[in-house]
Amino acid sequence: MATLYRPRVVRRARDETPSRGARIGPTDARSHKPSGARSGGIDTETEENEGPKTFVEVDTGVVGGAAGSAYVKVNGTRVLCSVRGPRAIKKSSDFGDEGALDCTVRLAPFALYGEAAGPTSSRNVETRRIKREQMLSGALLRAIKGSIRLDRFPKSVLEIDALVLSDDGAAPAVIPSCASLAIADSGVEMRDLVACAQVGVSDAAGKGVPSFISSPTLAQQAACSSVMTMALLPASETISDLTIKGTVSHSLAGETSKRCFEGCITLHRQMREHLVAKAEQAFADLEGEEQ
Amino acid sequence: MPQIGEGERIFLEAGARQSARADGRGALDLRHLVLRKGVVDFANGSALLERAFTSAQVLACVKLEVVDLEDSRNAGNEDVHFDVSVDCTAIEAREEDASLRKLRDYARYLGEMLEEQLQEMVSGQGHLLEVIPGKFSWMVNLDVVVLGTDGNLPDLISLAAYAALCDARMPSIEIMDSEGGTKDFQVDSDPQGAKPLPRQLLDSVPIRVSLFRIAETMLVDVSEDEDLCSSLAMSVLVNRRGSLCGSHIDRAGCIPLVEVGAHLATACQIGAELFKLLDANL
Repeated sequence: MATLYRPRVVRRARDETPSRGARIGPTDARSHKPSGARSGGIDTETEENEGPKTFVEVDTGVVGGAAGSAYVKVNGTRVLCSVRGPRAIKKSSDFGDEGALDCTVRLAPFALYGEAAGPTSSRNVETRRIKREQMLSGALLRAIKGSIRLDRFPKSVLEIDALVLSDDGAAPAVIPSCASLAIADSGVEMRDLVACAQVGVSDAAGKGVPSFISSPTLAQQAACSSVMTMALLPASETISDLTIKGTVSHSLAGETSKRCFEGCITLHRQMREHLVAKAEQAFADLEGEEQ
Repeated sequence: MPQIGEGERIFLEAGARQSARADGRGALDLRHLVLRKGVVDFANGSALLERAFTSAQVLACVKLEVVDLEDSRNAGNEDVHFDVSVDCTAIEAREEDASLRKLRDYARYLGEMLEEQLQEMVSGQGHLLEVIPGKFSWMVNLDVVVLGTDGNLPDLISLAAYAALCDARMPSIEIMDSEGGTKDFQVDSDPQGAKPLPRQLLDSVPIRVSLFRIAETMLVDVSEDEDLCSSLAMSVLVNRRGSLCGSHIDRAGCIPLVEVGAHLATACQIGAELFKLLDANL
């Protein structure tokens, strides 16, 4: 059985500069509006009861040999995702009415840095990396499985490889978003994009009023009493994964989930705008070539 | 691999919609639990938990040992306070050869998950288990043996683990000064002097409450057949204080955003009821 989807060659823009995805500056989660593109850097401005703003960058079509690919950067976390397939399953015993999903997350050797890398004992670092990879692979499968039309490619498998280039704590949220963009870039039918956000809760101010930090770094997560990660399908307003790490009261969990939802909506809008802009550029290139 | 027929699936889904399940329970009713503690003589603590009128049985044993913290760190093992293993060999006989590996992988996954939950619970409270601060600490070896299952196995394992930890008794320790100004300790073998694990630690131990969705209805404590029909499983970890310690969603389904708060509240309420039941018998 031939591959249903063929990899597309990434074309350079006419001015010969490498095409770059949307470099989106810090976003204001409360107002849902991007506060304007910036040339780079991280906005560390803090507001009362709100953590530092989140700096997001997305791009698609970054891996030439894959059916679809995407790159997402959120603050200090960078993830590169590529999609292969759908391709035929070789073992007939694994055939099913729906396609299969094979998710693999790998951490680059330089992905963990600082205290996250752990003690210098190589065995400890290797064990930590393997455990984290397994945890992230499972979380990725849970988050995106519900968004893909698996019934459209029976007896086939879609392989998703995510490579974490640097992990500053936001990997559980960035990986599903990046994978979702890569799948959209590959042309596989989806029910919706999956937007993932992470919010930490802490009472660092000591005022008894909890503060919420969007996309907390590892250092910030260590100070948080709990971190919530939500994977949202905004079109149907359904959640495909909700992970809580740490301890949080039920009422605070509700507040945190609202902020996660706001972060997901903001990221989803940016992802969609990027995909639309990319498609318009591709159409413009095609029209230009025809002329 | 167990499968369910289409007719049976339709029957179970219809029952779930009307909150009238096959065994007569409502959507949020739990099956009766039978708890026996202290069933293993040579363990510091043990608990045998059964679901009445089913074949589900889980035995959890706690053995305590003193470990040298420095040796553990040198060996690259930072997480020294808990070591959990889950054994499902007793139920392997009913599986086909092709499923055996999946069952063993599943058992290993359950063990790692429970160990991670307990380690997170201990983080920040490791001093409660220390014998000599910075040098020696108690290590809790928790071994769970699954003797039978009838659906919702992870929840039953977490309940048995909690019961075993509550039943566990730490031998008393005598600290003495040794030569060179260092401290040494001696473990008292008299069981009369043993005391339970620190209350603060036990209050942080979470139990798992899973909600399964069948035909747009969320059910708790599902049987094996209901588990095969479910499209989504939402697992929540709750501790005795009523706080959420973790959650995740399994299977390919999605939960409407407006329902998440209600499901978390339901899980907290069921967790509180389970803690009341267990504490009354421990």
